[in-house]
Amino acid sequence: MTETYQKITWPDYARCAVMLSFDLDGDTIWANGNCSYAGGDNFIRSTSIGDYGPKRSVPRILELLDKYNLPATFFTPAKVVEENPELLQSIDQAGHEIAHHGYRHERFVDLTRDEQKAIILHSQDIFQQVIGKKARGFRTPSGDWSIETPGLLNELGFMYSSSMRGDDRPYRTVIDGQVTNFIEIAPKWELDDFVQFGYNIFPAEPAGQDRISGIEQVYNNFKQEFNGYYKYGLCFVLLMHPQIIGKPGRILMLEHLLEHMKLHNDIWFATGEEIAKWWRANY
Amino acid sequence: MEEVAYWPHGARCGALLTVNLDADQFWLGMFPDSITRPKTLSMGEYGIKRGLDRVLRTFEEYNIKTTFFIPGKVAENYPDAIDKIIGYKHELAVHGHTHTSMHLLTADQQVEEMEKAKEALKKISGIVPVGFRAPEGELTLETLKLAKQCGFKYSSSLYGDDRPYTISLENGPIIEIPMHWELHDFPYFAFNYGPAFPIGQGRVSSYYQVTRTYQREFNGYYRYGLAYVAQFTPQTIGSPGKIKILEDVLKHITQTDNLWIGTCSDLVDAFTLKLRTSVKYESLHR
Repeated sequence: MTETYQKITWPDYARCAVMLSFDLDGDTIWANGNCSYAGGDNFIRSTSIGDYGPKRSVPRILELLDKYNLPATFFTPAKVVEENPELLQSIDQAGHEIAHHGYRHERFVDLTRDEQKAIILHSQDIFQQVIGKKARGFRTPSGDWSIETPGLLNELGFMYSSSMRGDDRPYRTVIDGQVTNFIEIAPKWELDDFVQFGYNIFPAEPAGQDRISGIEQVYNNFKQEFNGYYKYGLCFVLLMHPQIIGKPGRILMLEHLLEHMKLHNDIWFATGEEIAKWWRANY
Repeated sequence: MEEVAYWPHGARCGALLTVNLDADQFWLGMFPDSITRPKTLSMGEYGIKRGLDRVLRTFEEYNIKTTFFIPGKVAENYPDAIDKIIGYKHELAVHGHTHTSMHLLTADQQVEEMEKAKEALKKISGIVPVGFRAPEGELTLETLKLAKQCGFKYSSSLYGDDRPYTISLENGPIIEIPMHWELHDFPYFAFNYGPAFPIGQGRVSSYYQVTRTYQREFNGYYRYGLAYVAQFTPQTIGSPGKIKILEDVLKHITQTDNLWIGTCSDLVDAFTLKLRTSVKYESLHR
């Protein structure tokens, strides 16, 4: 395990790594929540919040990434891949990574090992059909995964996960007492746009409803956190959702943040797979 | 960069600064037992008594005509307030009759809500409303079908886009003017201990932060040329301090060139014309 103040070596003498990640959930997260209400399958208001992501946000995000020549990782439920094949192909063709995020954004902690395995394999088939390759990375949808999940992913050939919250740099996952090749690149709640901005009155999101954060205070938090990762030479994982960050004002906020990062010329912007490969080879 | 091009008068961007005059019906719709809670209901009454005048005067200062979504019962209970709105030549549109969530009602009950509200607004204004915004809560495609059946030309009830679009229903098309949570004042500021709103009783938001969010979002809508659909609630935005948020937002957005500001029905007319023109264009090339 790396020491807290140990200087981490990144490719090309970079001082820190940045992983721009997008959970392209579409309406799955809202549809899942609506299931518990009578007639919830037919609700169209909350799901319309999710529709915005594939419909409007992704093209804007791709344009922005292209402008700054940055790679990103799109964790996408396979149902969204099925429903938007051309969109996913355009993400793939732009050189970004598409990674696994369940079939319909299932909560893995509630599923048996066999159920998890069936979802993972079925989704991999869809990835193969639509973009011609299987996912190498996985992010657990909706909260926690179960004790068996990392072992299952490792066994099924996944290279990394970006699911936990427990570190500010990648690490090798310990499975059944063994240090493995399965790399974890942990994001953080304070760097998750949904936590700051996701909202609905009914069904309530977040559960306590709370308030949508101010766009400037979120920008300042993200920026200050990035400055810390840069100072200490760590791996900054920004966890975004197209339906949230792709709104007209927030995409400008993201652009502003990227401009701030780009003031430094010693940052390694990489996909999850690239970061996992580097960690496997060097740590 | 520019994504949309059908704003009236060749404008670059459209702004719809809509108002929801929910008054006490918001609280009664969401918490029916507040009928016996005068303190809770008094928050809604404040919108009629004080907030509305401040909102109307602020729009007047900027010479803005907009759309007021009004539950039918609010119109029945507070006809003088509706007369004031008519006096300023704003559009009146339907926001349910009792502000009850559509997903809790049968088809017949939904139609009853829509018809009663239409009737209440027509009785005061002499004009049959053409716009419908579903009250807080959920709705289904059937709700929109019923709205179409009741003669509404447009709905402003969903969140899935940043420009008007057409939804095809069994009984024909309806135009949707989508909204945005981050451009709605009520969720930032509304508060009550019991019945609890928000459910987890989050703190009231910073006025400064909300002002900046409205302004910065506008910059994005302007850059891409979209429909900036905001919602203001007189009981919320109409306090002596919060009305400055509306003023500061209007000051910010009206500094831009080539911005169209108007009512939803004006936009729908322009959008319908554009649709017709584009159909003609296609048929010419067939």
